[in-house]
Amino acid sequence: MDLLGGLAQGFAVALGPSALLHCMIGVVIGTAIGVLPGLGPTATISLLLPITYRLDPVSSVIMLSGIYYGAMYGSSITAILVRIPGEAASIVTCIDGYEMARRGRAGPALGMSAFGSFIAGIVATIGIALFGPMLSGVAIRFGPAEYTALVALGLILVTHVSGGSVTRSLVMVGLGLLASTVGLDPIVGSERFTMGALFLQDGLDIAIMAMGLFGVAEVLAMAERSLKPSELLAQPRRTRDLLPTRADWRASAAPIGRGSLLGFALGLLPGGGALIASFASYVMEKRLSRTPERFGTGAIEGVAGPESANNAAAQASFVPLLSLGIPSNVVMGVLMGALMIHGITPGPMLLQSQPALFWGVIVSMFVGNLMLIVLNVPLLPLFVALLRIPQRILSPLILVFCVVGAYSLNNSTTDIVTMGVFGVLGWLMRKARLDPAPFLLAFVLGGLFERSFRQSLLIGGGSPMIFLQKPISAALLAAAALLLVLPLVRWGVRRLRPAPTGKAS
Amino acid sequence: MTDARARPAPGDVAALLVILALVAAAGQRSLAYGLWSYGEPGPGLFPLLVSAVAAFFAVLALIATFAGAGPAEAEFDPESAQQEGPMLWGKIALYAGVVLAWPWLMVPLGFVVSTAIALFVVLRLAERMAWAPTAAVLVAAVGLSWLVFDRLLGVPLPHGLLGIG
Repeated sequence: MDLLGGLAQGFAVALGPSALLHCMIGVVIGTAIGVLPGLGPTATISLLLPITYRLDPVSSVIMLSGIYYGAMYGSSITAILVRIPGEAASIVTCIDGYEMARRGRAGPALGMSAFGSFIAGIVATIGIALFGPMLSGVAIRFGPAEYTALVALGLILVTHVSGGSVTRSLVMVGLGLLASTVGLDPIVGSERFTMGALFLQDGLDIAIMAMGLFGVAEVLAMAERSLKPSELLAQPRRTRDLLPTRADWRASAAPIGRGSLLGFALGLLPGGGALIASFASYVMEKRLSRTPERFGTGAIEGVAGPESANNAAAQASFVPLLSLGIPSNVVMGVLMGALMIHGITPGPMLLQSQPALFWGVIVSMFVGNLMLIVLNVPLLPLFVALLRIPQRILSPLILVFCVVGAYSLNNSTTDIVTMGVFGVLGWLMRKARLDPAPFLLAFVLGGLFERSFRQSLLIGGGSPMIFLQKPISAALLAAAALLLVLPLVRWGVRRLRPAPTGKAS
Repeated sequence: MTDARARPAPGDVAALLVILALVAAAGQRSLAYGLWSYGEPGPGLFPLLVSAVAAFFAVLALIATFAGAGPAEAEFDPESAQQEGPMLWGKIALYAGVVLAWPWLMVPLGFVVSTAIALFVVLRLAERMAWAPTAAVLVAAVGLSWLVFDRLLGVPLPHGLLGIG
């Protein structure tokens, strides 16, 4: 199917009443949770997984995707008005966005963040339509050895950019892969690590684990300490106040363009994502600026660039999932779980086996971005009002949602127990500075990894040399090995270098 | 920051030791599942390898912790950024206790009663909310969730011995 034919099919799917409704639900929920600090897109998508069981796969993915990129819009609202980023990806927006709001320019800051995100969303959608099928075409020639190497590289890349210690993230990857082996062996059918429990024979459920690790653990994290009093700056009352001036547009046009392209490129990499893209864009804009001293004092370029970059990256991260079947971040991992629940395996064959889903989801992003810009301007006061819901009411409500959601999967209270256990474990992981995201990603990819690994060994007659004999897998493994050695080299260099005596600049 | 890194946090070390014990046990079980049979990889090979990988990096993380090299600053956390003051251990214990006890109450008492008890403990005891708002939130949350999930989405929520819900 050619690009135009695919896009036509995508529009036919995305403009259907069910897709439009679910896209709207997704972007509104996404914006709302983006505004609410504490409840991120991962937790929300995890909590909504049980509901998507009752929907068709296309509507499910359209809704869940809408939550993800909608959250990118929403998080900038709190970053600008309260100086609290709803999501980590909007940390950078706090710097100049809040300063603009303090100087009475909250409207243009919010407006430019929304328009920048919209333009970036459109650029990313076009990029996905162009790159997705191209990547699928390459990946279709991948055999088990190449897949094993690709998953290994993807998991290692994720650990490098997840923010914490690489070594600890790799421990979590190992544990996640181990958790994926619980249940019946995929080839022989014998039980592994079930400890005789019947409910473990089918393995651990991705939705239950995600709800526990991100939903329940989030509630426990919110209960840890008292909330700081925060000052909410006055928000613009009229739609007209949100519109940036001609000078704002002139200053922001190039940062939006650069941010969109940079964000898209970084979002394509496994492990790359909205957070890195927004930081990279801010640094780039400051370096390129003739007046870098304005950054930090309310420069609109410091809002336009990063906000465009984080939205473009969020959308670009769909490319590795849809084309290779490799989720590049934990949100994509949970989305992959949603697809697998419906019996759909994302990967290079998706374009041929499920063209309606592939193109429908891509075009729905275009529609969703349009909805966000149309909805967000008049609904801004409503979203800001969400900030006034006390945490002590929100937390118990999230718990009720988790419990009913977990129960509804199999009408079993055992699932609630499992979710509770993973919730407490997730909270303990955070306390021990062990990131649960690589754990869940490795869990999602574990099945594919083990199958490809065992098939490769079978083809290679038991010799692991098969991974080095195939050029693509050898190259991917070389890159993975390089990434593994890099932190050790860096650590060694740091140990050998004499400690600085003065304060670091 | 340098001082904090010089002394390993007991929680960090304990977590890594628990992980080491866990993967050691998993590795041992993997051997029993068989590593190679009839000319093909057995069910135990992959779990053994990933256990070894996890163990290797857990040991490295332990060494780094004692050498004062890690872990690095954690990723930005929107929750902790807005929090202040000491840890509220009692509140966390109440929340965790509710999550773990809730499913055990749901079958005998039914969804409505067990959820009302769980919400009462959280709102009144953990959050120290006054009686009137507790009652309002409790009735609204139980009523809405029962209406949406049981009536609207058709989830057969347990009725319990009392037959409520």
